[in-house]
Amino acid sequence: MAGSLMFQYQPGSSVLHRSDIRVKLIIMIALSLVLIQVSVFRLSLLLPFLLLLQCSLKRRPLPPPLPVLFMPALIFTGNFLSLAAGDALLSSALITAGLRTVRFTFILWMAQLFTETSDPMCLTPAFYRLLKHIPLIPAGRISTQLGLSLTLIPVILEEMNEIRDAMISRCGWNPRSPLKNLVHMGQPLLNGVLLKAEALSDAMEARLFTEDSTEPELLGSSSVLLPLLAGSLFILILLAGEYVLSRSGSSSFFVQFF
Amino acid sequence: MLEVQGLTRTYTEGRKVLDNINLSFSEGSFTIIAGPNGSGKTQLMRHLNGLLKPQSGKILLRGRDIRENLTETRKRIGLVFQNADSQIVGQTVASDICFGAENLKWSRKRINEKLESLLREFSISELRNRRPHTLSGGEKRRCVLAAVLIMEPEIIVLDEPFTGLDRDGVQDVLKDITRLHKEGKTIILITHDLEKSLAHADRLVLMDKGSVVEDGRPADLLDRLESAGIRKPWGENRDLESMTWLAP
Amino acid sequence: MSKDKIRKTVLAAVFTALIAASSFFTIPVGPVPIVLTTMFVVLSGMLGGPWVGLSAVGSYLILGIIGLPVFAGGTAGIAKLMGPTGGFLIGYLLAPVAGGFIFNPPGDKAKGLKVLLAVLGAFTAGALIYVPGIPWLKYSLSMDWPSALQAGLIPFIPGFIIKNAAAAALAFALKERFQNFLKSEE
Repeated sequence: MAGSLMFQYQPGSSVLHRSDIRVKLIIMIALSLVLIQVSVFRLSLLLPFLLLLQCSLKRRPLPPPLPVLFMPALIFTGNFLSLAAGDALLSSALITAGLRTVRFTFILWMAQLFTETSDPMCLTPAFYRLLKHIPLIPAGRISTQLGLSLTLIPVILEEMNEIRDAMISRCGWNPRSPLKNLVHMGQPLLNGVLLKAEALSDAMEARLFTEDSTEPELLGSSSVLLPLLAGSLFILILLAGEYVLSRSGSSSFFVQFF
Repeated sequence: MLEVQGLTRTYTEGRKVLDNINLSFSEGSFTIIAGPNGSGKTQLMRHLNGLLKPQSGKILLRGRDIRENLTETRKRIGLVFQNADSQIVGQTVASDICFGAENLKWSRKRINEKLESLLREFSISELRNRRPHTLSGGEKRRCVLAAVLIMEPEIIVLDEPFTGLDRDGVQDVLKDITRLHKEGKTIILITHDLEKSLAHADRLVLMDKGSVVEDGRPADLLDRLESAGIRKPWGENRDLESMTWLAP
Repeated sequence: MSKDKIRKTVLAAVFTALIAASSFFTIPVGPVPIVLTTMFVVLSGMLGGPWVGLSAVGSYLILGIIGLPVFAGGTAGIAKLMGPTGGFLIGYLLAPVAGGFIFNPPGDKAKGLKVLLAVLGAFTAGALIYVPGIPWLKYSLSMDWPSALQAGLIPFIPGFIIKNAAAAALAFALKERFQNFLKSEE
């Protein structure tokens, strides 16, 4: 189970792997924001970009988990039914619903590309470097907190399974009283969590934990300039292209959609 | 020289956890503090580097109260806690070891140099990028020990370092402890497992119900172990030299 | 850094881990398995106080956004946050704050009052998760109100009651110990 956390990251040496995590994160968020408004133009321009990135990995894409496959279908039906029930034309309802579904898939795809190529181990130092420029935010504390929870997740997961198994083996699991089960499970779990917190904070104090420590190291050599340039260039082309198209009065079908 | 003077601590309900403890540890000594569960050993350890504030009494390091400069104190007195899992803060062995040095605001270059030498010293170089969670018990314990040593302490206090380790794990940890002692560090080892380590100590302190009941050379105290609630290592007339898990 | 601050940071981190770990962990309640994430979200505020809870949940969302599969069903990413169920994740931020403020008994309150506050705190906090959740669902799938409620509220009512009742009981039983930890006497 604990392994499943790390399951998605696949070590490699592609361009995406070598790109700085901060830049990848910013580009991913920027593209997601661009897609808040969908249009055929935006989506069709993004497709080759994503395909290019996928190909640069030089490996077969991972099969997505099953529930993710249901989501596009759900989104399409939900959107289509409600649009069709409203005053929209049937064809335009169909197209809009379709575009929104594609948008969802694209965002999912980007997230997958990001996780597949970003080592979670580098995430907290990267986050620290991103946050420390923002005033009033305790960057050191936040990134330590994130790092600590990453270390603790597998430990706590193991403990949860152990407590549940111990309960079942003592016949303490009564399917007819779920409330009692939950309380009986929560009590040792939270007690254990508190003990862990006590020990951990003592150990951190003994090792002189402070917010402004020496900056954490970014592991490996990560390139900043190339992905940053590529990303901003792409968004620039997208916005410029859209502006030109709308000025030249081409069909609103292409550029304008909800 | 570390001195504990008249240290007393009382729980709110009136029970005494520590009752007028007076101890001093000379430089380069190897002391074992033993006692049954609840005898106050761990509470004593928490006072030694200022995690707990003495309710009465004080602790002096080279004649100065340790609470005057807690940063300096914690740098000089390293604590290795009982549960290795809950004192690991880094996501990799290397980043965990560096944690203390980063908090001392050393330069990255100095930290990395020290890290390399520690990894070599403990022969754990091949573990450097492993996640601490996936290590074996003995490896975890050594990683934690290295993490304390990066701050270059003079005194190292270890709380039950052998709990839950297999034979190889115990041997590895014991080897490291004796090596550090030979290098001149002052060692204070808290344990009730005398059989694994007593041969290396030059002093034994027995605690029970919050007070020191015996204090002296290990050889002299062997016969009084059972009355202090500690199990005497197995064997009739067993000699002190055999009380180690290190191969001769 | 002060003892007090270290303890808060560590407690928040532990709650973050608890919330994240719980999304991999289901327990059977009746015929359907339920995920305990919301219960721990509520408890992080009730036991740790509003700000520890908020920072725990905030970090949990950050872990999810940067791509660790910690959202329900092992999903992750900003897509999830902007998707139809993203509003519930926003609601996660409100829950611990409300729970922490309501259930914050100074030691000498009468036992009955404490029980009342625990129940009130847990159910208010639990309900707040749905406040941004359902309108968001309605908007992002362009549903009408009845079908949004049908999809986003009604199936979860039994689980909601059980989880929040358990949260109230656990918070009541353990509050004092957590408070002592945070008070951090030396």
